Parts: sequence; structure tokens; C-alpha cells
Amino acid sequence: MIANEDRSATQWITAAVAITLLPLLPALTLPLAAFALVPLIWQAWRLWRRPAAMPPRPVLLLLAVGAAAATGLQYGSMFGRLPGLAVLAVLVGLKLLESRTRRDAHVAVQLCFFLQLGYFLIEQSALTAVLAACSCLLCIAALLRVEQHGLSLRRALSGSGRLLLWAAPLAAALFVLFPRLDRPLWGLPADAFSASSGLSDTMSPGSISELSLSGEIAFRVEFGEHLPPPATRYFRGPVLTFFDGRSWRPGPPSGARIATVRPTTDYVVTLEPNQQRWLLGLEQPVPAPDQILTAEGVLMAREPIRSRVRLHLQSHPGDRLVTEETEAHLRAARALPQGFNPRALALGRQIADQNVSDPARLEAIKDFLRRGDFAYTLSPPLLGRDTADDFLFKTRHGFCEHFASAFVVLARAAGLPARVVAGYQGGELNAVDRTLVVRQSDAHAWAEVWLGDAWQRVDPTAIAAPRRIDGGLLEALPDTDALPYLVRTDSAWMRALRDRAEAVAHAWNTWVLGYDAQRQRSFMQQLGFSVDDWRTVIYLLGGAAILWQGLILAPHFVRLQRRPRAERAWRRVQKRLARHGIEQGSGEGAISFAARAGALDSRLGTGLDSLAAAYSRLCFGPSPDEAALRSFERQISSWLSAPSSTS
Amino acid sequence: MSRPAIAALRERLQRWMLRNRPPEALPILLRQRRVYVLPTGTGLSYGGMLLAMLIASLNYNLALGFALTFFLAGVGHLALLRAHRNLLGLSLQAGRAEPGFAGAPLQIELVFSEESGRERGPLRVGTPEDPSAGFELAARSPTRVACLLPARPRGRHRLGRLRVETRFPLGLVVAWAYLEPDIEAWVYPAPEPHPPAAPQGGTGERNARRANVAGDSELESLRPYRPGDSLRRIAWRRLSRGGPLITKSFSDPVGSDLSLNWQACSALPDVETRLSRLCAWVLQAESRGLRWSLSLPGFALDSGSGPEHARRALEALAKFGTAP
Repeated sequence: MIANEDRSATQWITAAVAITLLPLLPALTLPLAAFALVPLIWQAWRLWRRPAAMPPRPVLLLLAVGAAAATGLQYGSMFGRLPGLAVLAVLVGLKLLESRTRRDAHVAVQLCFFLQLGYFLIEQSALTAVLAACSCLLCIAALLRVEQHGLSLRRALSGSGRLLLWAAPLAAALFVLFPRLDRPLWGLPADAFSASSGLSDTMSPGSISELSLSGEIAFRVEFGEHLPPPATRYFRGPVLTFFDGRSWRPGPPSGARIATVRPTTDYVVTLEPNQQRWLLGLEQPVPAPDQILTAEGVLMAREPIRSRVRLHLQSHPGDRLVTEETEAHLRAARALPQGFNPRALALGRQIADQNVSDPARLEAIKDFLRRGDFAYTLSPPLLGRDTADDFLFKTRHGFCEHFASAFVVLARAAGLPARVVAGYQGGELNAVDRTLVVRQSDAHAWAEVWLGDAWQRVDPTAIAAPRRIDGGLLEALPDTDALPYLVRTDSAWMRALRDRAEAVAHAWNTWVLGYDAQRQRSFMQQLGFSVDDWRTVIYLLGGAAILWQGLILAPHFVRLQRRPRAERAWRRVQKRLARHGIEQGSGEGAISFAARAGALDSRLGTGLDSLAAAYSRLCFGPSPDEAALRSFERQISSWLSAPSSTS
Repeated sequence: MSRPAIAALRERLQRWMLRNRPPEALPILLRQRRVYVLPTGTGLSYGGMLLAMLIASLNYNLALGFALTFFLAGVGHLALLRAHRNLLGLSLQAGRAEPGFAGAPLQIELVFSEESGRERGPLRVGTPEDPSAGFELAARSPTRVACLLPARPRGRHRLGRLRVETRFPLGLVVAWAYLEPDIEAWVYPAPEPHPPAAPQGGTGERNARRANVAGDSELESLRPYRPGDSLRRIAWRRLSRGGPLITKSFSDPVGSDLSLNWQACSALPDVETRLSRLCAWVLQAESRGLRWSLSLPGFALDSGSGPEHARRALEALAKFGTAP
């Protein structure tokens, strides 16, 4: 049985745990969420409805074992991000149930803080931060309440808020100054970063149209003044050369020496983690020192992108990739699997026979696409074994991967070296912060054809459905196709709202979440410090801490200096009388001083006696309350403004 | 380290903290130099938690993790400053000890005040080992704190070292100070629980007749304690259970002069038991409003009555055999 006094403290802790736990529950699987909730509900019922005994120990043990078993079954392990969080969530609930002493309260609150940290592994949005702040506020209020019985909710919350507010300057200084690491201290668990959907390095029918249903942001681009027109916004991902009849994969590295070009466009890409190495620059990028430019013209990072990165990139966008090419790669770019797509192969051979030069053959193929009555759709009919044949001669409805794949098959059949390029195309300008937002639904596939001195970009989708390239996915699709609401934004206000929310998210990502070792270095350099010198960092941190401490202690010293309120009010009377040459002696009491002043100047003395009496009462009587002090101050003010004393 | 060694170490530490000050005259103001702070057990675990959170944030490069960790670190440090400030400027204005009996807890009353105009969060005061009397302090209003100290042997004692501590505001940090106020307490011999009736008028005749009464008159009623009530009449058992101070009042049988003397207890084996019985007799006589006299080797009190009379007798009993 919980004592009455402790019960309200426990209620507070329960509320704190609940607010910490709730945002986490959707991330857990249903059985685990239930395991985490059961103790919480039990506790709430026990506290608010009926003061019952805590569940017997065997029940608690059973819950703990059950939760551990469920975690093991669900995730196959007890370690890692989600299983760890699940175990922690159940633990907090159980701790809550047996929480009786002050120590238990502290343990529960500390587990709450851990839980919040764990939740940040899943989600670090601005909303999460707000929720975490609420939960912190409540947790600390609960600790205050545990320490000080009978504290009202309002006072505890304001006390907790004040503590957090005072802590804010220090937290901000530490956040900026505390050295960040370039790489993790130890290997991260396999599931440290959730697999996010996105472009992959294989392409088969349906793999990109699946992405088009996702309104998730793939990356954002800031172009500054000069936004390139939609038709040139090709963000280059993996180059796929190898075809097995159904899916496309990257071929062996070309080995060619890629020509460096003079960049014409500077831009900043903020890439969401995609677990891949490609950096999705515009075409013909210029690599920075820690980036790699492959022979296929793809800009790569040295490590897979595991967290959001912000990159300054330079490119020379155009539809030709000027380079040398090895014979081996060209051979691979002409290869076709045996026994697939006989009709496409025949058509290719026919085109090759009728046209001699490569450009003429290319034109003929484009012509075929243009005149073939092809349609662009999100829900293409299923294709059989010969995907190119089925698409080119039967269904004629497809998504960009169908167009690109069929085009490359045709081109190769006609003797042209050709390959598929996957990436993103288009994007939408956010009206609020002027960044180009590229979503998963902007994923695209196009083709490149070797014309002797350069790879020429050919976008078969653009040939068949030109509006896809100029107007984006939405423009090109018939209205009947299902698209997620955020992608299909018809109403202007929805679009404005979404733009605003995404601009906030982008600012948050850039300035709060994106503050990593690299940004810290450049930011500190702008301020004129070097973070590589550890002494500088220590001096800065120490200076910030001392400054903060001074800030906190300053009001304390000011208050020590400050005289009591009644005395400050009386000082005004003394000053006025001093102007008339009447000074209060050091040993002279207020009443005798007033009497002396009245005797010297009868006009001044009016009302002075009662003021002095009130002052003595305030000084020597029982400690005055607010009302008495205020009325004394009013009395003094009216005496000062009275005509008798102003002469 | 063995337990006595730890105790010895603690004793030395406390002496150092008090800087070998002699017992001080009141009021005692707590200044910077005598207020100490250390993290509590929960504070240490809070620190450990912060370290773990920092490492996790570093490893996963969690921006919000850093923010949370640094906020909580700031809060922890504020808790330290607040605990320190909660004690700073506190002053022990006055204090007195009620005379007590050997073997019973010593009741003291302390008056704390503060002049800086800050209201003080929960504080505790008591012996260094067990500061158990809790109180709070409003700004500029002296507050009376009653506190029980552990039982002492009979005699006249200084209160000894007291500890004022606070875990305000979060319980993560304890701030404390040692006080050794110059307050003395009388500890009378423990009264014998069931003494035979006191010898009357010098003759031992009526002794036998009343022996069975066992010195207890009828318990008549209980009423709230009023200052000046005999300590003998306080319902100690209730108090020890956390109840309020309550005085037992007895019906007073009519009596005559009693002569309480050392020789009457000569059957008892040692000095302490004799003192115990004499003490019980004195209390009995006093509570019945009788006139009585007391004689001890080297001390004699003429026949008389009243609280002052009893006090002199009890103090003589307390001092008996010790250096003056």
C-alpha cells in the first residue's frame, strides 16, 4: 500500500513515464507494446482508481520473462536498437510498479531519460524534440516533488521549467563546442540505421514504380541563384550495364580514364541516409578530395551514407558525358542475353541494316518510340519472360524503367553500345526556403548511348511521355493512377502547408541534426578557432562553463546587495528630506527622525509621522506580507507627490 | 576497511570540517566555508547515466542525444548550486535542550532563521549519523524545529555535533554543514520503571503497606503537552511512534512528607540502580505534589516541593559521582 503522501509523487512519475513511453510505442511491435503498456495501465489504475497492492512478485517476474522472450522471438536477439529499446520500455514499466522509495523514483526517471535517448535513434524530428522536452519537464518536476512533499503541480512544473531554462545556455554552449567524432567509437549494431527505401543498384520491372508511391524525401538541393530548368535536372545514380533478361545490374568497372571538366554549377545537396555510396550529383560532377568519380561518371562516397549528410558539389550538367572508353566496356555495353526478346532483336537488326551511321540508328530507334503510341503509367501491366518484347509490342504501357530497359535492348540489338542510368529527375521547389526537394517518387531511369567520343543521354521516357520530364511525375500520369497524398498535392494551401513544414524540417536537419564533426570544424573556423587543437576546445568549454556559472550566481549576489523593500521605499523619503537639508542620523530611528523633520518644517511633517510609524512596524513587526508592503509603497508615493512636500 | 576504521576516519574528517572549532555561541551563521556538497548515491548514478548517454550520442552522432545529455548535465549542476545555496546564509538562532532521562532520547529544540529573503527548501537536522528532523524555512521567518537526539548516560552534556543537510532540489546532491552549538543538556538517571513506594516520614512502616501499589497512581487522562509539564509525564511511547507530544496526568492522592535518602536504597547492589530508584521516587513525589527531602552522600536537599525543588534534586542525582 502506498502512503497517501507518496502516492501523488508516484502519480507524477507514472505520468512522466507515460509521456516518455507513448511516442515510442508505434515503433515497437504489437506484443512488445502491450508488454510495455500493461504495467503502466496497472499502475495508473492502482493510483487513480483503486489503491490496490502491487502485483505479486511472480507476476512481475512473469511479465519480465515474457517481455524478454517476446523480444527475442520478435527480433531474434536482445541486442541492437529496437530490441534494446523494447527491453528498456518494459523495464521502465516494471520499475514503476515496484516504485516505492525515493531511490526507485530516481531509477524510473533515469530509465526515462535513457529511453528518450533510445528513441532518438529512431526519430530525431523537431516534434520528437518537443515531446522529449515535455517528458523532461515532467520527469524533473516529479523529482522535485519527491524531494519536497506537498509541492503543487504548478510550482513543480515552473520549478522544473526554470531549471531547464537555466540549463539551456550551458547546453547550447556544450552542443556547439563539445568535440564531435568523425567516426563511431565502435562498430554500430547491424540495425543501427533502419533500411530506408530508395534507389538500389539493380533494376527490374516495377522496382522504380514502387518508389514512385513514396512521398519520402530522398535529398534536397540548394542551388542559390540559378535553378537549372527541370529538363536538365538529372541526378546521376548507379550505371547499369549488365542485363540478364529481366534485371539490370552494374557491369564490371569500365577502367576508362574520365576526363575532368570545368564545373559550371555549384550546389549543396543534403542527402538522406540511403545506405548506398552514390552521392546523386548532377551530371558530370567534379569530385572533392574525399569523393570518388567512377569511370561511369558516378560520384561516390568512400563509405555508405548512414546518416544525413550535407555536401557542396560542383557539376557541369549537360546531356553528353565526354570521356574515353575501353573496348571491354563497350563490348559489355553491346551484350544481350541469349534467347530473350527475339522480336526486339529482329527490330534492332532491321534498324542496323537500314541505317549506316550510329546517329542515324539512334534517330531511328527514337522515331520508333515516338510513333509507337506508348503511354506512361504507374500501374503497368505485368510483363512476361521477354520483357522488352512484351513492352514494345504488346502492353505499350510502362514506367520509366520499362522505357529505359526496352530502349537499351533495342539499341544494343542495333549495334549501339548502350546502358541504363538510374537516379532522380526533376524535383519540386519549396516555395518557403527555395530548396529543391527531390522525393523518392522522383526516382527515374534513363539511357546512355556511346557515340564514338561521348556517352549521349537519351531519355526514352521523355520521348514517349515528354511531360514527365518537364512537369514531373504528376503531370505525366493519368488522373486515375493512385499516388500518395503528399505527392499529389492539388490544393494550393496543402502545398503551402507542406512546403512550410518541410522548410522547417530542412532547417532543423541542417542546423541541429546536421551539426557534425565537419560542420563543427567549419563553424569554429569561421569564428577563428581550430577544433583540432584540444587546448583551444578546453579553454572554450571552460570559459563557457564559467560564464554560465556567473550568469546563474549573478542574481544571487544582486539580491544579497539589495535592501529589503520597505527600506528601499523609505530611502525615497530620506532623499526628499535630504534635499531640504534634513538627514537621518545613523543612530536615529524613523519615528524620532520624522518628529525632528516635522519640527524643522511643519509643511514637510504632514503625514510623515504616520509614514515613519508604518515603516517601523514593517521593520520591527512580524514579517510583512505583500499587501502591507504595497500599501506602504503607495503611501510613500502619494506623500512624495503631495504638494506640501514638493516645494 | 573495517567498520571501526571507517568510523575513525569519519570522525577525523568531521573534526577537520569543523576545523577544531570549540563549541560556538549562538547564533551560528552558515557561511561558504562550512557548507560542503557531495553527490548522493542517486546523484552518482545520474552522473553515470549522463556519461553513458554522452558516449552513446558520440557513437551514433545523435544531435538530440547531445542536446538531452547537455541539458541534463546543466540541470545536475544547477542541483548542486541550489543545494549549496539552500544551506548558505542559514543561521541557528537559538536552541535549548529539555532535560532528559538516561536511556530515553534527548529532546532538543532549535530555532533556525535566514535573512537573505530566500525561502529554503526541505532541510534536515540531527546527529551527524542520522539527521532526521525535517523542516522548511520561509523567507525571514524563524522556524522552530524539534529534534530527538540519541540517548545519553546521566550527567550534564554538551549537545555535541549536529548536522544540517539538504538534498533540495532534486536529491542528486547533498549539501551539509556541521554545527556544534554551545548548548548543554541535563540527563537525569533513568527512573526505575516500577519502584517500591518511597519511605514516608523517615519511618519505614507504611512502606510494606503500599509496596504493592508499585508507585503508580491511576492514569487519569491524556492532554496535549504544555511547556513546563514534567518530562516524566510525557507519553514517550506515543512520541516514539511519531505521535504528538502528550502529557499524562494523574490523579493526586493526598500525601505527607517523604524523606528520600541513599540509605533507603542500600539493599540495591550498585550506584546506578540506587540513583534510578531515587529518581523514580523524586518524580513520584513531585507528580503527587508531596513535600519531600533528599539526601545523598555529599548532598542534601531540605524538605520542599515544586518543579524547582525537583530540578535541583534531579540535577544532583544526575551529577552524582561525577566531577563537579
